[in-house]
Amino acid sequence: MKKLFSFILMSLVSVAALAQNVTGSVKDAATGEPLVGVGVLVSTGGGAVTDLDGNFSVKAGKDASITFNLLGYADVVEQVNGRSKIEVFMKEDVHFLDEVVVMGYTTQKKNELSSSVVSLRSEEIIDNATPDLGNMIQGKAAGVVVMNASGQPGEGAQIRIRGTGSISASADPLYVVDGIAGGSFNPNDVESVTILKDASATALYGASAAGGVIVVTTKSAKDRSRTEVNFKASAGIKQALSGRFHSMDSKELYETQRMMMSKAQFNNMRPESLLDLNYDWYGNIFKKGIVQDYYASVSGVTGRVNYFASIDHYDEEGSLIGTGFDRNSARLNLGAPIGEKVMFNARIAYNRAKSDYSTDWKDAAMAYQGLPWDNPFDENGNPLAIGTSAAAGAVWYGKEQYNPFHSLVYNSSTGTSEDIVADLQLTWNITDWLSFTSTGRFGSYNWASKNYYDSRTNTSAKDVGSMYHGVGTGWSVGLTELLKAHKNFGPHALSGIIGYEVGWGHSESVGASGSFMPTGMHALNSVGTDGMGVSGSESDSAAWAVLAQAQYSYDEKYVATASIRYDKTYKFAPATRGGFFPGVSAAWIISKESFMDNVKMFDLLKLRAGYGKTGNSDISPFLYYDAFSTGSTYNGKVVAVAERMSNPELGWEVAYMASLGIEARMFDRVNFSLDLYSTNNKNLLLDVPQAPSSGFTLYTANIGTINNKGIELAVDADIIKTRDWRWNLGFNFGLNRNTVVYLPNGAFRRGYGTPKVEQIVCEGHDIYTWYMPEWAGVDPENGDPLWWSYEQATDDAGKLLYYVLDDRGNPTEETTTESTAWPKYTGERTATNNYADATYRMTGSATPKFTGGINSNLIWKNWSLGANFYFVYGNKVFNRSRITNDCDGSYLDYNMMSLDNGLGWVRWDPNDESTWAVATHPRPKMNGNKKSNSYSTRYLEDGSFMRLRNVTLAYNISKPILGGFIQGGRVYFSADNVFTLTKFSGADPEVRLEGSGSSLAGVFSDNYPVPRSFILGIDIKF
Amino acid sequence: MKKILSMIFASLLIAGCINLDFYPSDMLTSAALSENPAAAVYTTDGIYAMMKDMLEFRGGYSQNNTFVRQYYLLNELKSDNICFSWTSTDPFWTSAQFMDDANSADAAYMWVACYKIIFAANANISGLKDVDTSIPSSDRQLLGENYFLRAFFHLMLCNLYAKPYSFGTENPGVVLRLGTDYSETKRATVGECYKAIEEDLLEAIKCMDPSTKRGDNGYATKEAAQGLLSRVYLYEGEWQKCIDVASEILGSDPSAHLESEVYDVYAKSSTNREVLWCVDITDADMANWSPKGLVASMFDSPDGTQGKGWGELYVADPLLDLFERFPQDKRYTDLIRLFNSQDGLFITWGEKDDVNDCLTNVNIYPNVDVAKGTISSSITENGDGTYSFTYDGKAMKAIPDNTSTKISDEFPGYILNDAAHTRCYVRHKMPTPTITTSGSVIWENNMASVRPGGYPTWFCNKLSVRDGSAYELNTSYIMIRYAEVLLNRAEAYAHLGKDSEAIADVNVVRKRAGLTGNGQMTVANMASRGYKTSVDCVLDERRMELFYEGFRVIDLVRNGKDIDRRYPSRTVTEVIPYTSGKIQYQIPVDETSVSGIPINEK
Repeated sequence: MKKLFSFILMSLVSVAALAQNVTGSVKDAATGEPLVGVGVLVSTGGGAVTDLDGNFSVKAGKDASITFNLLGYADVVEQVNGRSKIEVFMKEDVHFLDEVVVMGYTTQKKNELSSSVVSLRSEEIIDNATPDLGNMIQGKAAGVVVMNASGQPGEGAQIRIRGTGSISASADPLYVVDGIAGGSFNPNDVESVTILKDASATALYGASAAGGVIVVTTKSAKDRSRTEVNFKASAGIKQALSGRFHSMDSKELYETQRMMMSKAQFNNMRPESLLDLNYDWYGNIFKKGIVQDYYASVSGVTGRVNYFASIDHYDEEGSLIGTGFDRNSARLNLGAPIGEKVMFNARIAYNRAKSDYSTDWKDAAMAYQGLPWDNPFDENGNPLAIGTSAAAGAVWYGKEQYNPFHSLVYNSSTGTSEDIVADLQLTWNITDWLSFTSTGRFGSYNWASKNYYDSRTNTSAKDVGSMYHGVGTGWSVGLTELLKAHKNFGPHALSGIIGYEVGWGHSESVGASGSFMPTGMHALNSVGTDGMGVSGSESDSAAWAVLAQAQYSYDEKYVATASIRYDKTYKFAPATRGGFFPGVSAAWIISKESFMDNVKMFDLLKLRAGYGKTGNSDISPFLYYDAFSTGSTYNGKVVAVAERMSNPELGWEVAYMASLGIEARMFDRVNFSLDLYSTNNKNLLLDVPQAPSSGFTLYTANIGTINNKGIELAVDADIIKTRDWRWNLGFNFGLNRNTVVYLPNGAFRRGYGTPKVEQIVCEGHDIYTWYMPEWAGVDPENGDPLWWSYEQATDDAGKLLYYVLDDRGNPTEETTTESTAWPKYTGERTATNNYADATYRMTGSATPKFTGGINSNLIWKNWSLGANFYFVYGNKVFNRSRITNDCDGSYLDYNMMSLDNGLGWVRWDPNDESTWAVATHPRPKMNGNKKSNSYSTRYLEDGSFMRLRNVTLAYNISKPILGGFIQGGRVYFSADNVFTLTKFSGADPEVRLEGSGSSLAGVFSDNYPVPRSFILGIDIKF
Repeated sequence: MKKILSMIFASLLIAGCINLDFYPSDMLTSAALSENPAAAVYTTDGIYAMMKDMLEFRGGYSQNNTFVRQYYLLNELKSDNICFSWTSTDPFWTSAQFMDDANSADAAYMWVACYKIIFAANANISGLKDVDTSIPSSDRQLLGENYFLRAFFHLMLCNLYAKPYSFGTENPGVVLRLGTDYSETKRATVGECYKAIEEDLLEAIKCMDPSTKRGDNGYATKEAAQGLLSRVYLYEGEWQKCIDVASEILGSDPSAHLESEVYDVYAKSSTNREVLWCVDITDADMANWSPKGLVASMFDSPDGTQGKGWGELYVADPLLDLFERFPQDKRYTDLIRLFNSQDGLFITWGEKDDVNDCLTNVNIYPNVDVAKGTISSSITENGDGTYSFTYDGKAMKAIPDNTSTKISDEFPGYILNDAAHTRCYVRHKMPTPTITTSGSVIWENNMASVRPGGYPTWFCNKLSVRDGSAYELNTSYIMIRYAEVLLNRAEAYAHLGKDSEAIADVNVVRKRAGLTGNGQMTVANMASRGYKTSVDCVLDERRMELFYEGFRVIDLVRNGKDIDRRYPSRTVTEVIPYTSGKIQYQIPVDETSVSGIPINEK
């Protein structure tokens, strides 16, 4: 840093020697009023601010250029050219109309766009303290659902663009960094983010674009001859949130358990002395964490070379004990011309990240389940080694003989990853209308994962030290060749690209585990030979594509675009490898029509429509082969086990999207866009359930169709726009309806865990439709749990009726042959206290009905106050934690959640008649009341919430200070996750958006909630 | 321009040449495997490995989900040998309470695992048969093992998901998978299933020969197939056939096939002479397994502290009572362990817990009344066979029960002189209570000697000992052993009315357990010891010899006997009629929702 400063000082000195005085004034171009506080920046260094009369005086070299900037006005650049007096007129910023959007392979003028994109500039996304881009864009783009299901530092948010169209294959969007799919970036280096939502734009990316495309552009030197040094630092605290959830304290638990037992038993098991103990597990396991980020960048132009370089250090301590994340990253972007017509760009990005994880799932579980009567620390304040021989005889009431504070001392679980990505790009401007770009990208990465369990802890449950250590490495190479043309013929403009892409990748890993390690050893060189396990893998990949796009525009009034791409990937069988992905779109810029000349309110009015097809190949490789796994042994000999059958027909999942949109800008203040879309995902890469009696439970095939349709609305307005005050308020809203259109057997159930939590994927319904018995409340008579039992239809002879399924799996005629799948119900229902008689029903969906955001930015002089709300409505979240936490006595050795959570919950109390009629909770009984905590809608809750994601108060340094030493910047205070409005009873309503191999979308289960954070930061430009 | 176009065409040509054919490096395709001459060995050993490995189930891997664990648990959980102290988060709790349903993970896993193995056996059988009719003897051995395995797993499915054979052959059985045609999925009848199982075993016996045995007890053999066939004939009520096939392998001196020490049967199961077939577990397997995931951990917690095993299942009082008749029985002294015990008179009985429909224990120690947490007077042995003590301020007496038909005067059970409490148990070993200064008793540590509800923790350590292993709770899981074959024959004799032959076989087992002299059964003393028939006598012997090995439920039910759960345990106090549909596990919804086969009636 010291070096950096001396470098800057030296350049200031050298410039001053050649400088002359330049004076002048700055006025508003429309009104002629003098403009106060205009930043005057001289390219050779130094600067000033205009005074009350709009006058300025600076020293500048003869060939220097001077840049004038003022918030709300377009920058003006004047060449000095030996002048000593310069008069400047600044226009209000209407750059919107000329704004250019980076689309990945191409850039386009925003007003000529014919597809639905959301473009966010760096300053719109950097408000949150997060190392993850997903978190930054939450609530800022209509139709983009972002869910942050874990507070684990460094964990990325899940993003869904225009609904979920895939079931088994990934529905994640594709990242395109600096024009090429894939790559990595530090959010601080991001210049802009463009979200391509509809297929007419994403079709050009074909493979894996079915989930939408997020185009990230990293910073490069502005085309100015001034060296800019930017330094950012921020630090703050993270604070765990618990929402409406809180555990019972000692007294509440004591009194609740008293209801569950006979007096003799209670006296015996729960001595009154317990009331003296009251340990707060949640409050101690989730604690405060510290987050800090330091970033420095330098950019400028030296001779003909422009450069941008940055380094960043991010460090976050998790709010769950033992968790954390830190990252170091660096980037160098260089650009220089070679001769007259060729430009080269080189970009290198480096990242190294380390995550600390909980060493045991029980770390978080104990926060929810630990009993207030168990103190994890002994009288000397040392963590108790409960569950090991060292603590033999200690009294412990809880179920898990586990002390996270003890294992924290000895055990660790870390993951490190390192990647380096280098691009070399040559752009050859062959003529003024034709250019050729060739980009090569090489990426290399490695990772390591280490879990260490010390023999002094009981985590391994063997009382022998054990460890897992895995390392992996890989590389990828990609080439993209693009020929671009653009030519105007009078009012006609024609442009197009043709291109070719190819990529290869390789990865390999090896992992080993061992046990019987001497205490204190942390490496795998000292494990007992009996306790060794090893695994390894190696795989190659390759894919290529050719693509072409043509765009025609007439008089900037009519725009039409067509594209086509052909992809081939190694993931599919030879016969089905290829995929064609075409897209077309058109836009009509109505505001340019002459008949609109008299309609002054519209600065822009545009109608656009598009249709396109994209693909998804995001599944594990080699699924088209049959396979025998040889990973196991019997009696020390390697064995082979059939893993799956072959499917030589396995091919692309495709998405067809039609969309229609209208965009407007009115009164130079209001932006408005409205989009309608409908997407059909067909030939889904589906893990189709098979009858287990076939020997397999699943096979992957291209079967099924899903439709997503929706409306997106985005409005933002400069409500106040005066010299001192500006207030911009934005609102976005995305409504999506998901429907399973076709499945091979009409429906299948997906469930995980014990007890199994289930969803049904069924034609005509949302793909995340919950499937479970319905809770009918509490029997006021006796406090029994009740569920609804639906009466099954019978024939005249009284035999139960079922539906016969046709070959498509749809229920058709009736039968009396038994089958669990499709009983026929009459619609009549009765409440039963026998869970086995309860009827499974579809009970709502884990998919939100709509989501959106509200963004406000208020500016007064140099002060700005920003706020960002995110809301989710209409989804159902299954609060799985309640099966153990709200179980009416099923688990006496787990703590329970307090009923005092503002939701009006009442327990049926045998000693208090006033509770009987209004009880929401059954009579508590030791070991449970008639399976009352079974899987049912009792624990299915409204997952809607509205969250104040961020508030930032900033002081913006808009003019050079300290004699121009500091050119600008800001000092800010920012708070994330300030408050959340929700009826959800768990700690955090923000849950997973998609199922994984072992869980479902929309389940809350002892989660690591997203914390609140308070950050103080500075951002200074030198 | 020309240059550029030619460049583009050149790159398209390159594209056409790019290799996109890759193979998984960590798996073998069938084509690659078939090039290996030992393919059939790999895939046959794969079946044995699948019995012990965690197989993927409902999207994940769980230590609960191994065949061997579910084999032992599902076959025993619904029996009258098991006492629960506590609700468990483990799904076996619902099975133990007869509350399992079509969604229950354990039964669903078992179904999946059995059919995965049957699929593999079918592939091997068709592969080996395709080779040649005159295949080498080593391949015939493999073929025989696969027939044997297919039979074993079909039988396992029938035991768990279908009514016993004795209920009638027309009842729905399970899905029969014979051969490689899987186009139709339906439940065959019980009769059809048993017929197929029988045929497979006969085929297996033909294929295998003692000379081609492939290794230790971890590999199927001709004798194992014969032993299993004796079990099948017994379940079918083919008494004579059962006697014949059992006799074939038992020879003239059945005791020669038994280990001399009861303990060694379990300690050295992979190599000893008694075990016909087991699933080998090596230390290398244990390295990837937490001992808590093993079935043994449910039965026992082997060391003095907590943490080695869950120890959630305790031996129930009626079985202990059976052993108390001859407390020197080595199956009692060596295989059942009262945790943290000391010598001392100990009286215990169940008291109705109205809130929870079960029996909570009241335990009377010589010097402490645990249920009250206060010191009481000690137990007085009155010399006339009765015991006096004070409970809840009342003078009480345990009196030998002379009225019960089951328990004779020679080996008494006890009743209390209090009308509210009928049955009680007098033991000579007691748990050591920890008493605080305030007089209350600490018993809530996971592995404490008395669990909440007053249940003393009697662990079964059949599966928790292994000589020379670095791991506790490590054992090779016994699937068939000679003592069972012998008792199969004994039961068959008994059903044929050949009481003396039946008793003779029973006595071989008793003698090995250290019960000589008065401990031996005779046709004469059988009645005085409370047995109406020799079948009842054999069933009690099977209960004592084979407890926690997965035979109790099927032994009761196929003989038309109810499951009597009226003893202290956290499970509901009830008698489950042998006809109850709750005894059979439900065909998992994973199956019925796809193939639509009929469910079991509850």
